[in-house]
This record gives sequence, structure tokens and C-alpha cells, in this order.
Amino acid sequence: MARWIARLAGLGVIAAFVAIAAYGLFAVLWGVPSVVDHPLSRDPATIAAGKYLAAAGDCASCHTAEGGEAFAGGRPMATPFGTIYSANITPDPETGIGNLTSAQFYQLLAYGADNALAPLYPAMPYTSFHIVTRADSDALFAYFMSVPAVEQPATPNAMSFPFDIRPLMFGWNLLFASRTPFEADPDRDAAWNRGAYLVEGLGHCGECHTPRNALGAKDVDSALTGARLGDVMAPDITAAALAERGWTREDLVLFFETGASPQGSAFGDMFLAVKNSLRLLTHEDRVALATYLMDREADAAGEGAAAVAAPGATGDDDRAGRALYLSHCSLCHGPEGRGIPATMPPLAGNATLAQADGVNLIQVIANGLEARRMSLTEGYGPMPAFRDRLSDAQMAELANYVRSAFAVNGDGLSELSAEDVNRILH
Amino acid sequence: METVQISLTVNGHPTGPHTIPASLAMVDFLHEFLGLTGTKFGCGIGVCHACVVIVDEPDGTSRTMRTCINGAATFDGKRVRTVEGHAAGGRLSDVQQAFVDHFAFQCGWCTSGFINEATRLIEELGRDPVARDGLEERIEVALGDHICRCTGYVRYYEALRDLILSDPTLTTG
Repeated sequence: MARWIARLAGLGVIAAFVAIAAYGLFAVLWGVPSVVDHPLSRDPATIAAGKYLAAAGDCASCHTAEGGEAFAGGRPMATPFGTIYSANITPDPETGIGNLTSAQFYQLLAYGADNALAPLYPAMPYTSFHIVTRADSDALFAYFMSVPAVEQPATPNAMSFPFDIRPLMFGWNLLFASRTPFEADPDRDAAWNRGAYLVEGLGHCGECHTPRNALGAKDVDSALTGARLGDVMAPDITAAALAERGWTREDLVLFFETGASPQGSAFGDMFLAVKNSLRLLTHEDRVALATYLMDREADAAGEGAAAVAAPGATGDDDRAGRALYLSHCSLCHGPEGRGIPATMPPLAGNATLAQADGVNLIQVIANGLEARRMSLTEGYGPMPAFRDRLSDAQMAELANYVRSAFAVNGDGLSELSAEDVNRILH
Repeated sequence: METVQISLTVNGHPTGPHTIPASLAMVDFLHEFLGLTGTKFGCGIGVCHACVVIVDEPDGTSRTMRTCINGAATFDGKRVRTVEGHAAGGRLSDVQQAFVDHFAFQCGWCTSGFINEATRLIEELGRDPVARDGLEERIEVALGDHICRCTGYVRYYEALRDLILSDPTLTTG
């Protein structure tokens, strides 16, 4: 009997050994596709192109810690599986990417791994970046190798078991990480295709705006339909949903350029995306992004702000709601919700009000927003938190009033109750 | 025009009911309805904090609130103190006297806000003293939102620090 147990245990050990060896073989053979090395370019034009692409990829927002050196990493990113710290991508040979080749850089960008032992976590959006062309990857590499080297060792990740076993990510990659390169749609024009390349690739919009499954992978069937991001919602940015909330292609271009538009202002993480990325792009690329997102033809006639509701929609008979609005909101946002240009966002036509679930509206009313500065002359003042001066019922009444008076789809939005407010805030 | 009725207590005196426009800013209510012009309108967008008044909560704590971005109606039923409520019997309050002694201000536009914030901080320390090591930081947090365009803050900070340190019950350690 004991002999049988010993033999079974022995078989088990052998099976485990074979399984680990097989997984190792899989990791080596499949996990890190081999890539041709190209010599590092020192050409100023290539470096400048790489700098532009780094802005398009918003590399700075994650790879620069708050108050830290540019691209030296160390910014914490909380995930349901633990906290990940961004890497130092300056050319320091010991702590940065100084010893990488252009091939390894591309492997990390497109496949999330340059060796079988320590693949990246998909907090680095290689799940989007895999469509970036090799030429663009080489230009990015040339740029990062040209920035000042900063010696700053990586902060160790704090991942929970079993997610701290990094080679397991190859299994995740097999299930969830596409390696299909970008293919232009021959039926669409150049601007739409450029927009698709940026939105789905370097722009990695879906990393926030696409919902994720239990293992943290993007649900590709619901791409860009909006997802929870901490306390707020990254809104649905499919073409139909954007149009429903009053967005037009022209206003999206304006929003990408300034963080402000007739549909409101960028807040939360989107503020950083505008400040560090979108506003640094060329006008042509902003038009391309908006053309793809709104699913329009490049030469289609503009709609401009015409689609936005007339400011201060008339005849709303919710007098109690209006009284709350006038005494709590109107001093900044104006009695007709027009706001103050480059100072206070307008509420009339504001797309955040038009989000059906009301999550972002209630969160902002309850908890306020920090003052934000986009440039020397443009920014937004602080929004006070009303949680401690309005009850849940009053916040619901106020939210219902501003939705009904100012949202473009106000008549179609359901009323929020005090219970809804309580649920959103807890 | 939508109107609302409010009653409140200002510097210990109950006032109201007043029928006011629902969108009337508190700073305008103090100026136009009560003749209290010591509260200054600065930036008008809630940034500079020149316009703050003290609101005394029922639980004995106090906070400051900006009066440019908050409607008078939001102060209905509240107990409010403005800069006019500090001096008594022909004597400046300790905070006011300290600011004068340290030449803390020049044009004076931000001063009523600084006086209210400093007074609130001292009252808070009276209930819950701060360790001496942490005092600088507490002053910075309290006054940090207040913008002064004349004197560069240092004298406001020094005046408040000296005043707090002169009362041993406000600090520990």
C-alpha cells in the first residue's frame, strides 16, 4: 500500500515537472516571439517623431511619478490583483532601458515580454500597443534613448498570490492578448483609419473605456462601451453613445485640444490624458481620432455646437430643484448653466449630465473636484463637495433638475432617487 | 426671479427672515442686506479664499466657507461669524493684533479671510492641541489655500505661529 502511495507521489512529481517544463517551453517558444534587431537611430528627425508618438501614447502619465523625474517610473497603479509600479524608461543602463535593444523594446511594447522569466503585467497596455508598427516602435525607442538618464531603481510590485508569479502572464496572454497587426479598412478614408490606429493602438483608449472580465482582460465584444474606474465611470465612447450625449466630431476635436468643450470639461484621469497627450497632437490627428470615434467620413459636414441644447433650457417647472440649483451651483455655473469660459465648465449641454447611470454626476456633486490647470491661461476652479451640506434626497433632486434642464437627452433620462444616490456613494 | 426665505445668526445676532433671490451670493447678502462689508469679494470662483466666513456647527466645531461661490440660501439656519465679529470693547482680537504687530498685510483685501481662518485654527487647537513638531504643517494646511498678493505670506505665518506658541495650552511636546 505504502509503495503505491510512494509510486503515485512519484508520478505526481514527474507530472508536475513535465507540466512546468512544458509551460516553460511554451513560454520560451510562444511567449516571446523573436524579433529582428535594428540599430538604434540617433537621427534628430526620428527622435522628434518618437517624441510625438510618446505624446500620442501618453507614456508620461504612467511612467512619471507625481513630482518625479520625467519617465523615471515609480507611479503606483492599483489593480484588483495588487499594486504595480511603472518602470523607469529613461536610458539609464542599470535601472532604466539603457541596455535594451530595439528588438527587446518592440517585444515589450507589442508582446509584453522580452524574456521568459519576467513578462510585464498588462497594466502596460501591450494589449493595445501590439498594433503599433515596428517603425513607430523604433522611433519611440530612439526618443526614450535620447532623454536624460535617471538612475532610479524600480519599486517592487505588490501583487497578491498567484498573480506575483510573473510567467503565468503567458497563459493570460494566450487567452486575452491579441497579436494581430493593424490593418487599414479599405472602405474607410485615411483620417478614419489613422484614428483607428491611434485610438486602438498608442492612444489605448480602451484600457479605461472598455469593460474588463474577472481576470482583468478587456471584453472585446463591448469595446469602448464604458467601464468603472475607481469611483467614477469612464463613459461609453462608442459613436452612438457619444452622439446621444450631444457630442459632435468638431466638439470632440475641441475637447482634445483644450480639455474643454460645450459638452463639459475633462476631469479625473481624462484630464491627464488631455494634458499630457491629446492636446500635444497635431490638429490632423485630433480630427482623425474624432472621425474614428464618431464613425464619420473625414469630409462630412461639421455639426459644431449646433447639436447642443439651447443654454438654460426653458420652462422647467421643478421649482424646488431650481432653487437648489440657484443657491448651490449658479454662482459658478451661471443661472442658465453657461459656465465661464476657461474657468467654470458649462452645464447646459454637458455630456456628463447625459450619462444615464448618473454615477459621475452624483460623485462630482458629492465629492467635488480639485482645481485643475491645463495651461497658463486655462484651467478650472475647485468644485466644492456638497456631501456634507446636502442630503441624499437633495442631491437627487438637484441632479434630476440639472439633467432635465441641461442634458441634451434630459427628457429620456430616468429620475434618480435618494436610494440611487446612496448606492452610488457607498 | 426665484426667491427664498432665510434666517441665520450672524456674529451672535439672529437675523431674518429675509426674502432673497435664490442665486444671491452670501458675500452679496452680507454687503447688501446686513451692511457688513468687511467680507471681501476676491476671485469670485472659489480659489483665493479672501471671502471665507466662519460657520459654527452644532457639535461645537467650526469651519470656514467661501461666500463667493456659496449662495446665501446655503447658510439658512447656520451660525456665522464674519470679520466684524472679532474685535470687542474697542479691542482687536488676539489674531487681529498679532497681524498688526507683525505687519502681516498691506492692502488688506485678503485679511478678513486670513483672520477667520487663523481664528478657526486657534479654536481648533484649543480643543485638540497639536504637537510642536507638527505646528508648521498645521499652519500651512490651514492658511495654504489663502492667496495674498502683497506681503508674500511669511508675516501672516510668523504672526500666527508666534501667537499659537505664546499660549502653552495650544501645543504639546
